[in-house]
Amino acid sequence: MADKKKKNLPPDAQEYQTFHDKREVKRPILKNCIKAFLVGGFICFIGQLITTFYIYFFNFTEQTAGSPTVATLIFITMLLTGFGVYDRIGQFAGAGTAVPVTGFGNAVISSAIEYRTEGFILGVGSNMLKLAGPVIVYGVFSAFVIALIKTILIQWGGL
Amino acid sequence: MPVKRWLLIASMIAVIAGCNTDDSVLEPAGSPNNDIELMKISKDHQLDQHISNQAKDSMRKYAEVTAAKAVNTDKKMLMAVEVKHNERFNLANIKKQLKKEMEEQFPHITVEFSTDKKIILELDRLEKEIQKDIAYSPKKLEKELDKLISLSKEQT
Amino acid sequence: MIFFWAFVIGGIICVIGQIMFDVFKLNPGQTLTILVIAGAVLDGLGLYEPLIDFAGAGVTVPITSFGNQLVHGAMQEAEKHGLIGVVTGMFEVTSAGISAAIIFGVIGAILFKPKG
Repeated sequence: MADKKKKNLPPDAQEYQTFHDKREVKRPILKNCIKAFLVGGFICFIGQLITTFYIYFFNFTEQTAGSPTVATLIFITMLLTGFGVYDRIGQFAGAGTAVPVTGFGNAVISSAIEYRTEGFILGVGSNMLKLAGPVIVYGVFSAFVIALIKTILIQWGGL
Repeated sequence: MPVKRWLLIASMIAVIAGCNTDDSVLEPAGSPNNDIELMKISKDHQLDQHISNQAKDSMRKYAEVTAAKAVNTDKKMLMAVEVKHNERFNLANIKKQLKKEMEEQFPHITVEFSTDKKIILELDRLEKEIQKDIAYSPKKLEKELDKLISLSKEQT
Repeated sequence: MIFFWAFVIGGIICVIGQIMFDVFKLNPGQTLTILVIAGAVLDGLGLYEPLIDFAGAGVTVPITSFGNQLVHGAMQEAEKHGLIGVVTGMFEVTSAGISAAIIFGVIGAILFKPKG
């Protein structure tokens, strides 16, 4: 991928790119993947515990227990984020804390906390969804495209 | 833009939208499954549960079914089964297959079928309540059953 | 059993995210966006629900589930009301994640102090 970018640059810049690539900190990919697997899997395991708890002790079915599970996880995320613990785990686990919905919650909540100094309307309100924005925007849009195609196909072909 | 490209690929893949073939995924085993967890309501009960008892018996022939619960009124029956975990990937097809089988076996009543853990728990509780109380009122049974059927249909 | 598979499948989805970070050098915003779209595509193909039946929270907790629920909501509404349902039904089945994040975000901003 870096080679593609190199071809479009003048020779000086190409030299720098090579220099940069050699000096760039190599990421321990395997170690990172293992850490992500363990932490991410653990968060999902906790989620399963919460789901099972809601099914056994409340009036939720397997279908409907997903929502309270997510809400509970994000509540826990609020506590972890507020006390600075989530980011520390995040530095260790990388995608293990970013990919679960708790990562989404952390992005929103930590932005809200950070921007509190700029006031609630302009600070918290405007900046809360900065990281979450693309997820919601493209989630909705891609769901729209996919559902549209599928509905049209069903109406045409009796899928 | 990488995101636009992904959207294009996504929509192309969506055109191959999964047509799940209606496979019968459960095959009747040779010998009856004795590991299945079910309880039959006794015949001396005021409420006639012989339809539910028969339905549960029908589930014995599948080795993959690990539990079967059912309760019926004279107009409808709610049945719930649990299957071995490795079969859960096909849960939707299994549910379709077993529901059809129950509807064919009992054409004169409405069959509601579920594979949800909550419904299994609730039906188990209901069965035990019925079994304990010889004088369980049919009206109360109908109310309880309707409650469970609407619970099984909840989407959010 | 479901606890085992929740751990494993959830872990695998996070590894896919980690590979996007380390190998494809994407930032978290891009990675999460792609994962949400992937969830939507998988539901379009009818593959996400069987995964939920098999791995439970392993697929309902990662952000991919958001894409799945959006498509689900849109399809449900489209079944009832035709094509317009694709637009109106989007958030019928899901809002827990977004609502909770916003609500606890505001509460968090009230309760906690920013760290320098």
